[in-house]
Amino acid sequence: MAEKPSDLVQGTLDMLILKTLALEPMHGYGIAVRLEQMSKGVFRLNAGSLFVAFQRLQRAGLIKSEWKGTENSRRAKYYAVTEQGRKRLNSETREWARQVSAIARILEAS
Amino acid sequence: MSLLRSIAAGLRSLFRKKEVDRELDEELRAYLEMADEEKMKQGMSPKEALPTVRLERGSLEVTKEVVRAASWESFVETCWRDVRFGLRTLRKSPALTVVAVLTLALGIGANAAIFTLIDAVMLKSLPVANPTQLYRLGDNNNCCVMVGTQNGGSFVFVLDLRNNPGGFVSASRDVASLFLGEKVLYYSMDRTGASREVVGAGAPLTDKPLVVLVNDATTSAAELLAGALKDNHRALLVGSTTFGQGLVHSVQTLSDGSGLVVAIAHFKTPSGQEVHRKGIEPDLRVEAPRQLLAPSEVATSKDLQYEKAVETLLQRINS
Repeated sequence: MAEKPSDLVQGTLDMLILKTLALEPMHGYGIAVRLEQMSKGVFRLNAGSLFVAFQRLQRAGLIKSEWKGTENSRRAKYYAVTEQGRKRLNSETREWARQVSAIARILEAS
Repeated sequence: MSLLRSIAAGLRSLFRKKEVDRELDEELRAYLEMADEEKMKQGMSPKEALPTVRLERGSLEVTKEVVRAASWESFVETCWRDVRFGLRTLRKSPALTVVAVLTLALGIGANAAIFTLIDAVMLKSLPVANPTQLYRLGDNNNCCVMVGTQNGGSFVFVLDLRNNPGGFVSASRDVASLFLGEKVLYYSMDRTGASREVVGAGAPLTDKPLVVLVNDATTSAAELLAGALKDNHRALLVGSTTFGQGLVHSVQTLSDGSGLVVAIAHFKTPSGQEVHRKGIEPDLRVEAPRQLLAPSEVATSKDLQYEKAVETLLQRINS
């Protein structure tokens, strides 16, 4: 039986978006699909939280946007990570790894 | 940096609302259409795909509202809408509006007035360096220390002993101490001719220039004070010779309730000058007009002795 898509751990959406965009610039739908694929369907994002996150990241200067044509000859807003965003992704990834290993150590303690 | 960017982006969406709205609209529409196409590619009919995508991803209008509400400028917008709504409501009931505005105006006005008063009376400190060292002498407003004339930030004192009938000798000693500290104030001579010196107490309160106003009705303890200040070269006496009452009286109560006043001593000034029947001579003689000054005229241009006193003080300060 397939499990229901779960909500993200609070505060991790920004990090995941930055990671996705660090691979290549992408439009909103592309980001959503990529996140769902990479998480193997664990995360299902609704458009609201996704676009709020875009707005937040853009205002923080971590990503920038540009209108471009898609491969299906449609116009879409493509997001790309900025230099500042790349730095933020690195520091957040390190912090995340630190926390996960700490939590794992606690949970695995016998 | 990112705060500035956030403000700039917020202002842009406030003032160019239509443009920003259209952009968001277009972006979301593209997003949902791409999701639709994806579903159709997987074999759904357009009829099935649309509701499925809306269900999974959220509808266009709701998403737009969510994105808009997440930004700070939406708060500004909401406030502005509330203000306009409030104004419209007020316009509908003018009577209530007038009452409300009047109530607020009177309330604020009264508060401001009371605060101004309390500020002036209780909160604001006096315009002197050490307000805690200020002394009040006597109970009446026309009591002795009348005026501190401010001159270039420096205070001078005019001590008005005119028409002062004296009183307790201890009071004159207290006032003299404020200006002289522990100096000899006067000598008390008893009937054997033995003299006892009376000395001030404590440190002087001020060494600022002092003028003492005296006239022929400056009597008894007031004369002692004038004499002490003059002979110690602490003050300049302005006016006319004092009355000349230099005896200490003691009151003996008799058995039938009446009293017997007995002179028990007479005074000399620090320089050894007899006070009784002689009075204290002013340093600067300025005769007073015949008639008494009304209390409201004291220390005004009608008060020649006062004018002279201030003039002399200012000369001393400037020289």
